[in-house]
Order: sequence, then C-alpha cells, then structure tokens
Amino acid sequence: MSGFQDVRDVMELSGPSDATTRVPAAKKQKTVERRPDGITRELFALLGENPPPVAIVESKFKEKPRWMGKVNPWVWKPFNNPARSDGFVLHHWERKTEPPQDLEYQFAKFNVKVDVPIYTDGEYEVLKDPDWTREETDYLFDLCREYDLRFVIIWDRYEFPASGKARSVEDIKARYYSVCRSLMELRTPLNQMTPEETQIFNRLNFDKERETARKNMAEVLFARTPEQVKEEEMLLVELTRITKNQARNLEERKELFGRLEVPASQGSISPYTGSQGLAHLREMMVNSNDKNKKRKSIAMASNNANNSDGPQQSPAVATSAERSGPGGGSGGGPSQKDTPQPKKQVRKLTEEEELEFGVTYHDKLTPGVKFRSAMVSSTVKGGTAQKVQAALAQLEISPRLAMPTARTVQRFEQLQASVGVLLDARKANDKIDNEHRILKAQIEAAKEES
Amino acid sequence: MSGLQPVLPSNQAPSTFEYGGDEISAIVLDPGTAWTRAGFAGEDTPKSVVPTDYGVLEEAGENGGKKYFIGDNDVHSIRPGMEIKNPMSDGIVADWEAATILWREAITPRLTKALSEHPLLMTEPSWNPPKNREKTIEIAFEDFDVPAFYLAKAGVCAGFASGKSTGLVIDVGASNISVTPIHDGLVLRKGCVRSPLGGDFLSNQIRAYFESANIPLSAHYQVLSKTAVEVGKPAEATYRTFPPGEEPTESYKRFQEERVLTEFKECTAQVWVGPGPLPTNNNPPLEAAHAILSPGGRTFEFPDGYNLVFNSERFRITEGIFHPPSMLTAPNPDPHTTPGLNQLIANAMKDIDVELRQMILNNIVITGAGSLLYGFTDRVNAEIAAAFPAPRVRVMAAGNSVERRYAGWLGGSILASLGAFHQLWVSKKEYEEHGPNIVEKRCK
Repeated sequence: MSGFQDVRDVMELSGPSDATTRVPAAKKQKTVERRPDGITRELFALLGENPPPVAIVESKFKEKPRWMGKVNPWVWKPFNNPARSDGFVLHHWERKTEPPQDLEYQFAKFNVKVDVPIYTDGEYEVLKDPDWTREETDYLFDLCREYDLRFVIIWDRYEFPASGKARSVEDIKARYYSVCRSLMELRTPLNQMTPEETQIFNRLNFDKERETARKNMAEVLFARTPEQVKEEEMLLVELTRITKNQARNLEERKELFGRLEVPASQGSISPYTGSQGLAHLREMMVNSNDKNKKRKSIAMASNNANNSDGPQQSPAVATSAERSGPGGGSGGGPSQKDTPQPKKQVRKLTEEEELEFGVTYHDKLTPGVKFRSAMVSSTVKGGTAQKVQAALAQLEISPRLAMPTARTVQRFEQLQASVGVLLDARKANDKIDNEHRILKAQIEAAKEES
Repeated sequence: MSGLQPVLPSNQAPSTFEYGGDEISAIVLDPGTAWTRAGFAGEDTPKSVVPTDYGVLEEAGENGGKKYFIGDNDVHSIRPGMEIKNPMSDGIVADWEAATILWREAITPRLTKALSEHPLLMTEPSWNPPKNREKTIEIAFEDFDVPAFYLAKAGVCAGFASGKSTGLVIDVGASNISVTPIHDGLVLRKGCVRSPLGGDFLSNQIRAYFESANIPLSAHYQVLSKTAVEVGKPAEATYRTFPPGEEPTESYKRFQEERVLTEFKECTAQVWVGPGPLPTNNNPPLEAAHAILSPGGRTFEFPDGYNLVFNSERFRITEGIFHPPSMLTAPNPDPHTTPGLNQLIANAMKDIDVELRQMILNNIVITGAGSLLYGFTDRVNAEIAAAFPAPRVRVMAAGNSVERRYAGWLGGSILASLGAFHQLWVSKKEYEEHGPNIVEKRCK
C-alpha cells in the first residue's frame, strides 16, 4: 500500500478520498493469505480471498537418491539355536556386522515349556488314588509335558490300554490337578505358603462333578434343533426390542396419563342446559374459532339452511368460493368477497322420507328433558278431562301409554278428544232431555190447571 | 533384496520379529496323489509341480532296468509300451522306489542339486501309518542326505495356509476327501476321517455317466485335426494311427482321458446348492433350479470336436460326494457304507470335545483342487449350517485357486520359514542317534 501512497504523493493527490479508500484497503490486506510458492501472483489475484480449490503441486524434479555410504552386505551365516539340544547348525542370511558378533539366536526365547511337577517315589505314596496306577499317572504326566498341558490333545492321544478304562478329559484333568495340589501341599504346608502360592493352590482345585455337568449342559446347548435356535433368537430379538423401547414406552405412557387428566370444569353448566343455552354456546364457540375455516363454513352452512335461500343459489356460491379459495380471491370482486363462504347444501326431505327417518318439526318445545308420555297434551279441559279419564278407565285403557311413540301419542290424543266430544254430546243430550221433561211436565201441569 | 530398497534403507536390517520369519532355505515337499509339489520355504507358490503319475518303460534304462519318465513333458509324450503308474495309494506311498525317484525329480531339476544343503520339510496325510513315516525319514536322510528333516501333517499345514491353528480342514484331494480337526497346530486324531470320494471318484462318475449315455470319450493325443460340428452330431476328425506294436498302452490312454475328464470337471460339472440331496430325476424343482443357475445348460466339446449340452447331469455326477446313494459308479465304492461329506463332518465333530466344537465350526477351511468345483463351498456351507444350527458356522475357502490347490504346500512353506520352528527339525545327528523311530517322537 505504501506504493499506492507513493503514487498519490507523487501525483500530489489528497483529499477525503484518501482516508476513505485507505482504511478498508488496509483491512483487506490483512485477510489475504500468503501466496503459495507454486502459483503466480496474477493467478493468485484472480483467486480472490478463497484458497485455491485444488492442491497446487509444485513441479519439481525427483530428489536424488541419498546414498548413505556403502551398502551393507548380507552374509550366509551359520547359527546355533540354543533351543536345540543337539547343537545342530543351520544357515540363514544375516546383515554383515563389523566386527562380526555372535548374538544369541533371537527366536530361542520362544522355546518355553510348561512346568509340570515331578514327584519322587516317596511322594507318590501320598498321591495314590485307587483309580489310577503309578504307571498310568507317569504316562499322564509324560503326556502333559509333551503336549504342554493341552488337555484336549492329551485326551485325544491318550492310549493306556493297561488301565482298561476310557478316560474322559475331566478324569485326566481331575487326576492331574489333584496330584499337583497334593504335591504342593506336601512340599509346603498350607500355613507356610506365600499369598501367591495359596492363590495357585486354590486355583488347582478342580471340581470334576461340576465340570462334567457343565459339559453335559454344553452338549445339550450344542444339540439344539433349528426350531429351538430360531425360538431363542426370536426371544432374544424381542428382549432387545423391549429393553430398547422401555424408556420410550414409559415416556409415552406418562404423556398419555397427562392427557387423560380432565381439566377442572369452570363454573356451572346450567346456562347451557336448554336449547337456547346450547345455541348461545354454539355461537360463542363459532366466534371464538373464527380462524378455523372449516368450523366457520359449517356454521355458515347451517345458517344458510335456516334462510330458505333456495337450491339455485348454492352451486354458484360454491364455485365462486372454489375459484377464490386457492388464488387468494384476487380475481373476485368485492361483492363476492363479502358473500358468505361455501354453503352446505341441506336436502329437503320428502314426506315419506321424513316419516322414514322420524324427522318431525315442532313449533315450540319446552326446554328440558321429559318423558314422551308426559307430552300427551289433553285438549279436553276442565271437568270433562276427569270424565274422559273415567270413561277411558271404564274402557280399560290405561291413562299412561305403554309405548308412547309419536304416533301412538297422537292417536291417544285423538281418542281422548273423541271421548271428550262424546261426553260433551251426552251431557248436552241429557240437558236437553231434562229441559224437555220439565217443559213436558209444565205442559201437563198447565193442561191440568186449564 | 534390491526390490525392498525403497521401503527399507540398505543400511538398516529388517526386523524379523515383524513376521517371525527366519529363512534357512529349506525345501518343502508336498506329495499328493495327483501332483507332487516342491519349492523353497518362504515362497508363496511351489516352484516345481509335477504330476505324481509317472511313465515307466521296462528294460529301457541303464543295465536293462526301468526307465522313468517324470514331469509334465515326459509323462504326456507318446511312447510305445510306456505304462503310466502312480506310486500313491489312498493318499499314502505304496511304491517306495518310484516315490523316491519322483521326489528327487521334483526337487533337483528346478530347485537344487545339492540336497545335502537344504533341510527338507515334507507333508503327510493324517492317516499315514508309523511304518510309512519311518520309511519317509529314512529316504530323506539315507537317499537324499538332507541335513534336517521334518514331517508335518498336511491338514495342519492347510490350516496354517489360511492362518488357522485351530479349525476343521476339509481337503478334497484326488484320492480322498479328508476332514481333519486341528487344535493349536496339532491334529485331533480321533476326529480324523476320510472318504474315497475325491477327484478320482468324480472322474469315474463322469466316465460312468458317459458310458451309460453312450457319449464317446476321446483324448487329445488321439486327434490329429478336427472340424467344428453341430451340437450332438458325430465328430468329424482325423485320428492319429499307430503302426502295430507301437500303440500307447491302455494306462496311457486312460491317463490322457483323465485330462479330458479333469477339463470337464473344471468347466461343466457343478454342485447342487443344497442343503439336502439333489432332487431326483424329472423333478420340477431341479429343472427350475438349473434353469436359473445355468439357463440352457453348458456345452462341452470333446477333443475330437464332438460337443454336447449338459443340463441336470452336471449336478448328478457330483452329487455322490454329498449323498453317496446317488453315486453312479456303484458298487465301487459301496454307496451304502461310504460316508458322504456331510456324514464325514458329522463323524469328525462327534469325536471332538464339546468345548472345542464351537471354535472348530467357526474355523472351517476348505482346500484341495476338488473343492474348486462350481458351487462346492456353498453346498458345504449350507450342509454344515443345516447340520449344526446352534453354533455359528464360518467356512473359509481361499478365493485364489492357486492357494486352494497348494494350501498344504503353502502351510509347510510358512512353517519351515518361521524362526521359532527351527528347533523342531530332526537333524541328521539325531536321526543317527535314535534311528527312524525318532519321527514318531518329534513329528507329532
């Protein structure tokens, strides 16, 4: 930037542009990374602030091999293996060293032997076992030494016909460990053993019965049928699934219980028991859910059903609503916007259908729940009502209907009315009869007088 | 050594412990019934592979003795009166004189003339009797004058070649299929079983099938020239004629036919997928299966140009290995007493400690050239999985056919180049001290 400043100085340029241009330029300079060696300045300038997207490999000649002096020769050298007892000499290639040095054969250290105890004749007196002869025990220990205590191999190679017994792996192990244990105890009494020795001593305890039982169980496990294996696998899968989902299930259950807890009711419901109250409640809910379009539309539909709009209008309204719905109503005029949204068409039922579905219309219903039998409204009034009751009782018709359906109630009312009419007619008849009789008597009396 | 320079500077010795190897330039010899393999220990393939079958001419050698023809070139050339013989029988040496000559011939022309400078490691089958083992060590020290000798079990070596010291080695050789359980590099003798259902049996199966179907079998040497013919049409070839008295012997003819049968095994025979035996003839599943496996069958052209399309027969000829009752060569071997491969594996597992079974079934190694039959390993896998549902079964078979064929040799090569192994060699001094019986003590 100093170059830029120099130019400005040379040109004797100064002014407010100086400060404004310089400050951001200096900032930019700080963020620019150092240009890698293998790239020209012009190309780097084109790359801008971001590092190049590909690695730039400098084209260089391969480095000259660095010869570190003379090549070390190999020599075909005899070596003695200390692991061998016969001093047999083999040859192998070795690096030549100056001066020639004879190192111990490096693989000799892998020649390790298992320490199998050796017992004397005197010690064997203690180790006696009725099942094993001295010869067989010796044979066993030789095998143990030969096969480094690989008991499976020892059992595989075990051939001692003199004993006449088939020895199992457990028999062999039990004998070996019991001999080792007794021998150890014999040489160092139990109370004089070091902790390590005690540990070894305890480890030599071989429980033959348990081992045999374990092996029998292993045998059973090995001889499972495919079905058993499949079932076991299935159970295992199920178990893992259950344990995996346990936490989630608990969570879900908790949430469910939380939902099941009913919120405490606020206030009495008595204002909403009547049909008017219910209507009011519905209004409230509709208003509160103004944003819920679906509910609103239902409400509108029911409103429209009440207005006997006629079926011709509703399809037109529906199409306009469809048109304005997804397009945001941009095409529709203001009048269309103001018209209520989709109307649900209410089907007019024919009389047969009304009868079939039991739809009835009532002018006025008293609020509250009641028995239909109580709906029987007697048209007969006053004293005749009781006479009607008496007449019905005389006819053995119960004043309370057994099955008060709408139609039976209607017929019952008709019956009552008819009975009332009849009773009225009889009353009128009686009255006229009486008057007739009185008048007749008066006429008789007048005749007698005259 | 120069090849190693970029990774290993010349002034720095490689760390032998990285691979435990210490090459002492030992020779490994793996005598089989079909092939005798020899090479230097530490290499990955045998340098010298010769057919175990050799040609012999009576009264043609020096002093009127036998003249032997050994090696691919000699044994396949036509010589009147040359008999083709095999020194092995049931996988073990029967003719010691011929075997000695053969082994020497396998080593000397291509490896070294100076046998006395290289320790020799040989492999043997697990059923090799002690007498044969003693004879082998005798030949090694007396005839070959090797400085040290070791006799390793072929099964163990095959396991080593797959990196397994414990497992079940299924070796499909020419004379036998052997199943050898090994543990810690030692053969479990009680579980060693074998069955004469190897490659030779398969050849006989194919031969029997050709005879029953009246398919003429020709050998390459018989044909001078041939012309292409339609499928199933008689061959149009000119055959080589021999002046009377100069015809090749019957054993030579058979030996040459055997090569054609081997080719048939390699490119046409196939093993039924299993598990369970191959469905019997005219069974829809079989037809459906082979329609899927090889639509239209496979064509095989005989040396004289005669060619045929083979369908379900391809499965039928191999089925005897797994299911002896369906073999075509009855009564030899007896289909009812010869155990099939499934039975062999079951027998082997029966005599193994139950605690080892799991581990052994988890390390099944399939080797031998016979196991290269198409679909063989899949079938073995299916059969074992069906027979032992409880433990996890894992079958390993080298994908590389060279490794599969020479697994026994390769394992021997690994063994003889290990630094820790060199204490096990039976040295000449020890042999002279203890006699041939030392092999029983040392080579377990």
